[in-house]
Amino acid sequence: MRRNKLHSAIHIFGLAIAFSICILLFLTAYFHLSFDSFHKDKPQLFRTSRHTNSAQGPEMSSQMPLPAAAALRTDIPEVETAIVVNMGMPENLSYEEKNMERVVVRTDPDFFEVFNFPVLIGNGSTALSGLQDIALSETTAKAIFGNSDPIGKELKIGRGEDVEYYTVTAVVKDCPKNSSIRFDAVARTESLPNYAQLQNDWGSNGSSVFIKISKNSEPQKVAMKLEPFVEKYYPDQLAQLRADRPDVKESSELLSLDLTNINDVHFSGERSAPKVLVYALMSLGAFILLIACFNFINLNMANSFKRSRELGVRKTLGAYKGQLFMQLWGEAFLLYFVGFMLGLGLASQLIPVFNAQFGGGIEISALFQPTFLAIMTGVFLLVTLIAGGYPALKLANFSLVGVLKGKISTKRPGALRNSLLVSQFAISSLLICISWIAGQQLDFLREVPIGFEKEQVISIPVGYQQDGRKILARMRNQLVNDPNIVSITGTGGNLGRGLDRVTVRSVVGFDYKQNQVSADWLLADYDFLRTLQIPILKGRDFDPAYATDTINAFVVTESFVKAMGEPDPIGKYFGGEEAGLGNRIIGVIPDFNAYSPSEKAYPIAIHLSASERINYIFLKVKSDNPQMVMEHIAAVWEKLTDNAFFKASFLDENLQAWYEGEIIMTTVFSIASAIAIFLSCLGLFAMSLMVIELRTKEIGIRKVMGASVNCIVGMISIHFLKLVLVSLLIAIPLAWYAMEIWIENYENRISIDPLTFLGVGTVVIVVALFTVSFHTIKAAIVNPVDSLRTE
Amino acid sequence: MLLQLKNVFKWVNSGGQRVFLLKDINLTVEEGEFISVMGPSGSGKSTLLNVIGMLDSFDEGEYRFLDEPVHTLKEKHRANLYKQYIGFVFQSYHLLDDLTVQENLEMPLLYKKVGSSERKSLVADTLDRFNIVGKKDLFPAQLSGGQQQLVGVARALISSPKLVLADEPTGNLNSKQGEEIMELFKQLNNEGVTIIQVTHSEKNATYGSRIINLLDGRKI
Repeated sequence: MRRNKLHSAIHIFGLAIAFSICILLFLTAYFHLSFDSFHKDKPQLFRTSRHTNSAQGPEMSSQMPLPAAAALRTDIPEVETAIVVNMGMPENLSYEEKNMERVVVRTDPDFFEVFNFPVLIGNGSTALSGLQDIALSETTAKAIFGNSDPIGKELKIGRGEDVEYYTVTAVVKDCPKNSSIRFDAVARTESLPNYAQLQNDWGSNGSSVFIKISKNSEPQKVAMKLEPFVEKYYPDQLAQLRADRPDVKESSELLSLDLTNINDVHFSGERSAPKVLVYALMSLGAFILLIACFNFINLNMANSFKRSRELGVRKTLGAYKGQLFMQLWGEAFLLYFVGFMLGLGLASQLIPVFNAQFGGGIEISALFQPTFLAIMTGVFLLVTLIAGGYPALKLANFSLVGVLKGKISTKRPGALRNSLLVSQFAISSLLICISWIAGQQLDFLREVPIGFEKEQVISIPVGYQQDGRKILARMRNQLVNDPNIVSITGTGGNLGRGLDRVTVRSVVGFDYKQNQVSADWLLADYDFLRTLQIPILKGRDFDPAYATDTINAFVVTESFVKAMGEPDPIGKYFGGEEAGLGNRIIGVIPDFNAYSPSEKAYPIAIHLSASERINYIFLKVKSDNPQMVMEHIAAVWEKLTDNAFFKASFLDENLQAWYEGEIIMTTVFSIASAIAIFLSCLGLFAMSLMVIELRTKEIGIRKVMGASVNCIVGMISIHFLKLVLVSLLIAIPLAWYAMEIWIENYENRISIDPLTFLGVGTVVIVVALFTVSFHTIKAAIVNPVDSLRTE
Repeated sequence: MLLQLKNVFKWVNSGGQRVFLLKDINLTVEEGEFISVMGPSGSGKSTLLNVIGMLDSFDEGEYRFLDEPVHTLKEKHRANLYKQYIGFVFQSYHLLDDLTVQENLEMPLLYKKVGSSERKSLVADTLDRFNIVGKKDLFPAQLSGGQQQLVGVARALISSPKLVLADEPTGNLNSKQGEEIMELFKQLNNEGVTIIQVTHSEKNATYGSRIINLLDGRKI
């Protein structure tokens, strides 16, 4: 091994990089696939969700009404228990002088019996027996009470006048990162602020409902019983949906309740992780591992054959076949092992960075469980056996004299070696194509004009605990004379996604003179258009001088008007049967993208309200130093809100969230393809050396016969070029097909340019030729006298 | 005069010491000569041949080939010169294992950029001339040593060189095959080809018109 330092270094280096990337990718995939797998009764646990098929098209929601749990429990005998899990916004927890915002889950008393969240202090089954009982997670308890015993202490939740007192009854282990149910504290459903109003309201959906079916009952049977259940409890909704969609006959197609096993909860529902992506990550990891292993096998085999003379000598000195085999295998084993350990070390160093970058919760310790260990050992043995064992067997069976004379050389490059090289380059080219096209799509999405001002607009999430309207009014007062602030407004929903990680979208559908219109409904406040610098095309902006503006006035986009089919929209009413009752259009603005351009864009209707919650405050800033203005606003905010947490961000940062999925995809694939092509070139580099060494004599003869350096370089390059071309021929159609499918998902999409593939092909070829050229040029300029002096 | 070496020195530096491979070689070769270079192992025979064949450079002195000063020529020019006028025959034939006899013969013509049809006819002529038409589609490994060397000689002669350089052409052959090759050389020489051969064998040397003896890089 020491003999061939470059060779070993290439081996170990390549393996280490591949292993570390592989480990990261597999752990990420494992993390997502293992979601909620820690629940003991997981085959029996299901989440219910509503499937509605209205005029706007089918819609799925896992948000259920509160009374559904009790009804499921009583109406369906197979349901052992049904519980409500209400995951709200962070609330303000305080104890003595301490104050913090934490997520409180409201649920039913048997929460800790249905789900496996180990109770550290206290008794799980009685923890929530009192209506004002609360169980805290370990970190929350520590943060509030430090080291003193929290049990029995009284905790204040809420702010200002809406304060409730809870008694701490238990401390629970922090919920694992791979849990769909996330909480810092658990309390009773009855302690919800508007419980009295919600407890019998089937129309207000705000909680998840989980059911646990009895051990021997079949989920399909339960699902069948949900059909009459819907008929019984949703008569009004069904009637309305029937009116909306006279074309649908079956009521189960209009509104149904579906069951999702807790294992699949992570991959279904509104905010789910796409399972395809997880599989894509896994195959990415497998690809990279494959490339590295191919390299390893290829190089090791070639090297062993090169050493045939040494092995021949060993054989004459009396080594047995078995010993030779063990020697070669052992060397492969050692190289692989060192590479693996380095990769493991590298991966564990990279995990924090990786988690921070991609928001995962992966841990290296997940690697040390039987399945992973078995896979790793299997790959380990297989690869080392092929890499070390195969040449050993082959050499051991060759005639001794032949080996000693050096006759056994890999004269022909060998089909195995070539096909491994072709697969490597095919995979690399595939990955390059994918990341290139994904990058093009991302650029394309980013270039879609959004239609409003995003620079120097600050967006402040008001938070659950504050009254947005009051604060907005106070802020207007405070900042009205500030020269740095152009205008202030409030909205119901954020644009993009800010530091509070929340986005909401509500699409409303209605009929206008036989035209069906679906539109995004935006709650705004005065100065909304001025803050976002959206011009008025027709009519006027909202104006405090008109008292009715907060009641039924709407500013709509051009496409909204077009969808209505109304030539003169100003002053027209929509959404009401007769004039005067509906919503009145007061202004028309150009279309803009309030949501990600990757999703379907609806027309937009903007309205004001006197009572609906203002959740975000937008400020248009005009300053050379927006950061300074931000600090000033933070100070004002803290004064106005009694030190509530200031989570403001600039709108252009928020909008990045629109492209998050694409950014992650392009980043991951670019890194992976860079590594793949790097590893492939590493292999090609070593292999070209090998091939050229084997052809030294031929090169010498050809030179004596008058071949120029260019001829020789060309000749060897063409040999590798052929292989690379074959791999491109394999990769490009695959990439084309896969990416066609992928971009189908986008509302705004590029058309795949064949030139892209030409570009990828050129890049791969140039890189490959460059790699090979190191050795070819060296070989070609060698004096043939040296290479022919054999005798 | 075909070529002339004047005070040619070639050396390598080994362990701080200058080791001479060729020392003050003066040699004039006229067209039509058949020269045998003799001397013990390591006396510089092959080096001399390589220098004459322009495969190897030298450190001091002058080399004129057909009145061209080889020592001042550019690499490319020099390559053109030897491609055109010099053919090589090796002890271990140095045929390309992957190519057939025919393809092996064709190779030097490829590098001389001879047109396809002309190549075909030249190859056919040569096969005919050396009586190996029947073997044209065989691979070198399917031929005996003597036949391989025959192909080697044919390859050297296909582009009608003025000078053939042969480095122990019979070294790997048995005596009968060796004799045949030497007879061939004699015949070629009679046809006007200048030949310089390196040999160990006194008997083979007698085929030549002149013998040069080397010892430690020096002509004696």
